[in-house]
Amino acid sequence: MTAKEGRKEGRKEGRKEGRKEGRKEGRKEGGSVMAIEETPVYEVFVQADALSFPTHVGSVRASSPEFALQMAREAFCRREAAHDVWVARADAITKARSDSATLPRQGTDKRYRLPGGYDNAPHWKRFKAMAMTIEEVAADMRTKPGR
Amino acid sequence: METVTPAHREALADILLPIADDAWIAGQRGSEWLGMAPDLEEDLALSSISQDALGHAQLLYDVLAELGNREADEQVYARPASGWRHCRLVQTPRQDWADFVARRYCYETFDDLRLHALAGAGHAPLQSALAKILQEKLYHVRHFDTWLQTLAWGGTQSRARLQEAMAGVFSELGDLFSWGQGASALAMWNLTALSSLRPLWESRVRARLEQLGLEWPRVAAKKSDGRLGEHGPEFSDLLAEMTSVRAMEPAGEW
Repeated sequence: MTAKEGRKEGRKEGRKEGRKEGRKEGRKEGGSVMAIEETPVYEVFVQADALSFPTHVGSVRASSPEFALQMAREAFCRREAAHDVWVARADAITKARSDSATLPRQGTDKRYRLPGGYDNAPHWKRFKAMAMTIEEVAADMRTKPGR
Repeated sequence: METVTPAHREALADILLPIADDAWIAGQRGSEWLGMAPDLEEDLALSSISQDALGHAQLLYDVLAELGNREADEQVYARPASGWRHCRLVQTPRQDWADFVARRYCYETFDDLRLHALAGAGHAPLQSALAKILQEKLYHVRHFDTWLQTLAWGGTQSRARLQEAMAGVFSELGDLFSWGQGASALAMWNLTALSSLRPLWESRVRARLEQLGLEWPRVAAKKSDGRLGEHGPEFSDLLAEMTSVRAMEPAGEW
């Protein structure tokens, strides 16, 4: 990926010779330096307004939940405001795919669980025939004063 | 808008120009990290923060333009190096990430104090600009504070390099607290609080460094004063780069 190469280039380019050396050594020693692949992934959920569900919009890598929120803000909310943003470590999310017994699958015929089995159309028609508009109610009241 | 005398106008320019120029140069230097930040997420975050900073400068240049000073474009593209009032802290070219974090933590913390103190000025267009700026500034301060914490607790090597970077940054702090010609202008705008921000800044930063187990480095005396337009050859290069595209067609519509 070109961006990645660009970053590597940038590291090599360090302006102070001593610091450049320091960074190279650090990379080799590992230990305190967290590789990008080791940085935890956070899934990001954005709630557009108070009445919407938080919707999954993507993920970021971050070294802390606080950073995940900051990065999510920039990666996914640059142009529009949000009511709230949730971040959750990807490895803290339990997924049904990892436990096939719990995965919702189309098995035997479950049509009886759908509401389609009731034929309400005739009832509905009768009700609509009876129903009055607000103007009809008003007219009805005028013809029967005192009730 | 209250009546503003020519003397007031000039005084406000002396006060706002250093603040606007700090923001502009910080934004410009920040943008140089594009593609160089530690990861893709920070690349996005920092680019956005840099755009914000340029936006803050523009808001303040607009306030100045309203008072009869030159327009924002002119401020950036037509001003000679000696007319700029930013401090050394924001001007130093990109070094390593620890240096940048230490540098921006120091700058953002100071700018936050300074902008809050400006609320005493009472000039309506300025206050409306400040309201917008402070909203984003809150996040900028937080971002670099989180990075400071991350590097401080990022292991022995990370901590050592942050400590070293902080010492380097402290040796460039001198003119951050200076007001140059603006010193006498502060009283005119009821802003004398701005001249005593240094102890506030020191106590806030000292407390944070202590909390993170970092040493308080020595603050070097200022060698030159950016608030008086003394920026050295380093800034001539930066200014040439900043204005290079515009210089191709100075009278053009951009």
